[in-house]
Amino acid sequence: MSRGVEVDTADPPPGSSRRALLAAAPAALAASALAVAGCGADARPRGHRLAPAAAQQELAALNRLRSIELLAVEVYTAAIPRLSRRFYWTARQLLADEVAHAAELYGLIHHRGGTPTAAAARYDLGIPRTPRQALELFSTLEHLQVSSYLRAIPQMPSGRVRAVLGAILASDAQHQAVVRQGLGEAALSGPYVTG
Amino acid sequence: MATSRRGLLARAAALGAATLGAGAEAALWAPAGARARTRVRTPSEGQVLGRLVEVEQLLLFSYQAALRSGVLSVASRAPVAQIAGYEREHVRALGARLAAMALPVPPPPADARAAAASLAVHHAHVDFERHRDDRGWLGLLLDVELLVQRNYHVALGYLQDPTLLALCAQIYASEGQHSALLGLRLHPGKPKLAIDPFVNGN
Repeated sequence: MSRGVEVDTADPPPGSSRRALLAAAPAALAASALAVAGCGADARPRGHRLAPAAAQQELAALNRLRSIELLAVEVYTAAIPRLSRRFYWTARQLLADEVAHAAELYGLIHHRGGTPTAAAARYDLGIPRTPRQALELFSTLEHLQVSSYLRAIPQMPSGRVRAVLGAILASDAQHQAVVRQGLGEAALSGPYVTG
Repeated sequence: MATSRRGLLARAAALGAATLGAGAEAALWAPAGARARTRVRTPSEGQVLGRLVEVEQLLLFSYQAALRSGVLSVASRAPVAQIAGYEREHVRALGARLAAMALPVPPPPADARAAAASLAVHHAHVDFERHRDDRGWLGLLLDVELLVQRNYHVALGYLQDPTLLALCAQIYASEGQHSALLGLRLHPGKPKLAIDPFVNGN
């Protein structure tokens, strides 16, 4: 997916080139995947096993969520070098979180005997031309993620998986609020986060 | 708070670290004294909902206490009032589910002493009468938000009904946003201190 982001001439922070971020992201993903048991949750399955069909359904859903997280890593990596200083460090933090989410999902899938997808999801999210458009792209992306987790959680048969997905959902909801604030919008949209 | 915020956070983190072990998940729903001694049965959906109503009421009480204190800055007062309104709605929605199950809705804390006693059951030691400034209240609210998040994190593991799961997931995400907002007010320009890759009350 091509994401041309207009260069913001205001002082790009050091080490912020897209190449540097692209080089760092997969390494961080790999490192996080190895340390997966230590971040969001222990991915060990509970005492009972799921029926094969339910297990397959769960794996497919987890892989769909992982592909969206990988898309998020791709989008943030591409757009961050174009941001102004004002939102740069926040976006770096959001990228680090997305990397952690993708790695956590890798661990969940792997521990359940599945093959974690390496492919980012494909959505037509538009091409940002300005820093503001980059933030709007982040907002759309976080909305997509939040909606996906809200849909997935009630359908997950494993309580442990639901709890982990809840922790990631709430993290992406935090991103949504922070990005909205960056856009000058109200950070909170109501008592319920509905995606 | 009777103990420092740092102490409370350290205890919460220690508890949270154990949250994800299967035994510890059950233990979190047990009365404090029973945790070390007994094996705890998986709670029913009604018990889980009742616990969520209880912690939401404590959270609402905390926001109302912060608003009543009169020391919040103008910039803090608006978001705190807004979030208090959202917490009231969470209590209402969860209470309605409990009532629909013909289960009693836990009453809100009668006063500051009762709220402090209930929070102590959740290992949070709060003295609502203590003088705080704006940051002190925001810190207290953040601590109670983390406690509530931990309860939602555990609840998602126990609930089975898809409608309840959907409702609790929406509220869980909402609580995540509240803590991010409070964190950003406490630590402006430091997103690392305000947002978490895994929002589970740790």
